[in-house]
Amino acid sequence: MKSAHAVVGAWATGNLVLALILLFAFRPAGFIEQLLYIWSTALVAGFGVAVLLATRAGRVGTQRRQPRRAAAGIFAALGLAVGLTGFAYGWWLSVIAFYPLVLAAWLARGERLRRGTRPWPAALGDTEPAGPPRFVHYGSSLGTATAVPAEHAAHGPPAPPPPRPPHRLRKAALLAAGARAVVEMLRRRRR
Amino acid sequence: MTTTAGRSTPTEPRPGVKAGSVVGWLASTDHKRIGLLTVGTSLVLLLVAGGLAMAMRAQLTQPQLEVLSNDLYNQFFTMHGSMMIYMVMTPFAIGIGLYLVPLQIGAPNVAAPRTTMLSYWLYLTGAVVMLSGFSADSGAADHGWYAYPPLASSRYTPGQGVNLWIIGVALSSLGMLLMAGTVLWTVLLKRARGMAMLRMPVFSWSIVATNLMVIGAFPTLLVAVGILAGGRVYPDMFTENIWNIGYQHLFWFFGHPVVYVMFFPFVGAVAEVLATFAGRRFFGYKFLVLSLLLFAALSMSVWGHHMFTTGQAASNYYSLTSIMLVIPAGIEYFDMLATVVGGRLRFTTPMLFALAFLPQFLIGGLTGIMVGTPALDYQMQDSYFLVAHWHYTLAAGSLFALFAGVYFWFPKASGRMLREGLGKAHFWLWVAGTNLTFLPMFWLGLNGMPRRIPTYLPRDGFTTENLIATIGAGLLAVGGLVFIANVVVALRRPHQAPPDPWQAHTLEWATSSPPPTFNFSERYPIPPIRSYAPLLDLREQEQSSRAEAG
Repeated sequence: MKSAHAVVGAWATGNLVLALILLFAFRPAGFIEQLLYIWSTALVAGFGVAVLLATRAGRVGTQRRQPRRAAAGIFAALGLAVGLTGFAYGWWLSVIAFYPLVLAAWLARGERLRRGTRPWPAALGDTEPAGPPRFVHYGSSLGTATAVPAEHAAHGPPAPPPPRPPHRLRKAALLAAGARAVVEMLRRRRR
Repeated sequence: MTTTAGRSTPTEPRPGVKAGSVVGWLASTDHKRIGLLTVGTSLVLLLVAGGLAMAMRAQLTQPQLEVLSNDLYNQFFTMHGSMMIYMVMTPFAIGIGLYLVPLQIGAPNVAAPRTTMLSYWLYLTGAVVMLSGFSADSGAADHGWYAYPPLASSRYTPGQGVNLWIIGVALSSLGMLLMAGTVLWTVLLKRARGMAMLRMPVFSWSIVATNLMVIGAFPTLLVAVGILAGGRVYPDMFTENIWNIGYQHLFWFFGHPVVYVMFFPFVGAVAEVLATFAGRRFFGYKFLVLSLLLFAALSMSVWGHHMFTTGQAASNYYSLTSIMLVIPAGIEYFDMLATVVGGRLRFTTPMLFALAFLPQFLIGGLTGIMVGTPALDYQMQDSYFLVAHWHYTLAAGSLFALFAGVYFWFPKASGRMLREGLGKAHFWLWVAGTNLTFLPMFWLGLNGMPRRIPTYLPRDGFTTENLIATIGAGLLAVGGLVFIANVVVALRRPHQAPPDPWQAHTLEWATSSPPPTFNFSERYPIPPIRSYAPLLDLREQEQSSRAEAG
């Protein structure tokens, strides 16, 4: 990871040096130029710090947990677009934008495979899932994922066969027999 | 053909969602699909922007024509420029990185694929909102692609067209910022085992430099359009010079790096194409990487050269930094030429486009040094010389490199080969068309034709050059149609592409065409990575073992 740090760090340092050259060697009249340099350097440096923190948190290497779909992204973008269009056609559109944004937030919860999940088919065959697996769930992910084979243990024990619906004819015959038995019983009582 | 080639992996749909269904594509989390959506959308919008350019060229063919009204002409050049920069070249550049970088670094997917899909949708909605300006009562935006205040304020340009332009730019830029961030995160943190930074292909490095510029520069554009939006609500704001000049500084702080955002990935593509079709390892790899980073870092310090004539920027400083760009650019050119010289060249369509990029972009680059000099810039400001310089950079340069990349990677993405004959017809039409269109514009500029005028008088002496330029634009249009025909033929009557049809060098060619869901599988494993050209390593290893055995 040292080279990644070097790239981002050198970038930020290089831009700071340029800003200092501008400031001391050329003495610009305004302050905007320095502000822009500092702003841009802070942005890239901030990204670099985020990378550093992620590295220290161990989020390096192949990513195993993958989301299954990105429908939330569609609604979030539509919400943002409708909300911003309020600038042209009235801020009441922002109220409409609220609904797709809420829907996006709601959808986002279920889109990522749970912790311990390994996407199917696994990109790297025999690799272990990321993080401590609480349970193993062979979910499908991404639009073109291959379906889990029918005999795979991921499907769990075979489902019990559904109860057979009574046949209509048999039902009718049973009903007739039952009715006849009741009638016979009543006749015997009369005798 | 590499030894890693194998049979293609059949993929089955996820239960409930068909793989090829609209939902399967539009809500996908596969970086390849999102990348193809971005690239495909930008190519469709290229047709729209190209159509606008054709209408403008028709208007300027002869003096005093009335093909377009003055207002419509203003809208057309504004929307042509805005579409090309915000909606075509930038998204294509970032989108092709999204498609290729995870493949090239051996990652199964991009980091944060849902954010990446959100970014595509922000881009798409931004494009739709911007184009919807044509349906507004006032028409689309007509202030030029950089929307200088006070012209773009509501006092001087009332109506919804400008507002929609601002919203479209904001949405699209936010989308590109997010997409660039996820790709850069992937490169820095999600590489395959063995893929050290200095083993990444040249193209991936070009995307690193590009995305660093995006992260450093695009938020500034968001601030700039925020100021413009504020000025549309409170137009008195732009009576203060600080806001007008401040806007220009903010805009060009984005505006110059974005030129390199629209250029670097294509340099990377050209480098890959040249190395592949020269049959050689890329020359001076480490110097190229260094020069890309230096070029990108310097590009953050040259924005003031767009403002020489305002007198509000430190001209000496910006002139110095602009001319310093020659150093990394020279290293890149030297590396590319040295890769080609002495190679066993194969003149396929992508190679032809890549070779044409070299001299054509050089014209754009050298004239850039001219206009980066304040004394010359004062003469050429707002003339057709700038239009010619700009189009040699982006059309004759980046667009040629873009098509080199499209012809090169189309078989990988689609599993089908494009026809060489049609590709070469496209190439020659474009070489003729590009130079006929944009070369005369240098003379027009030197003879005093200002940019953005909808017509001119016969006595101005601009007629011949304009006529030639329009003929050239016609050739470009025909070439574009040939390309579309090529894609249609390739899809309707497919010639199946093997995993590595070109004997290329990088990891994406080790997997099937098109690649499986997570890019590499047990059938298509990641080969050992010992350099930035792992497939070339494999071939060389195979040859040496054959030689030893024989």
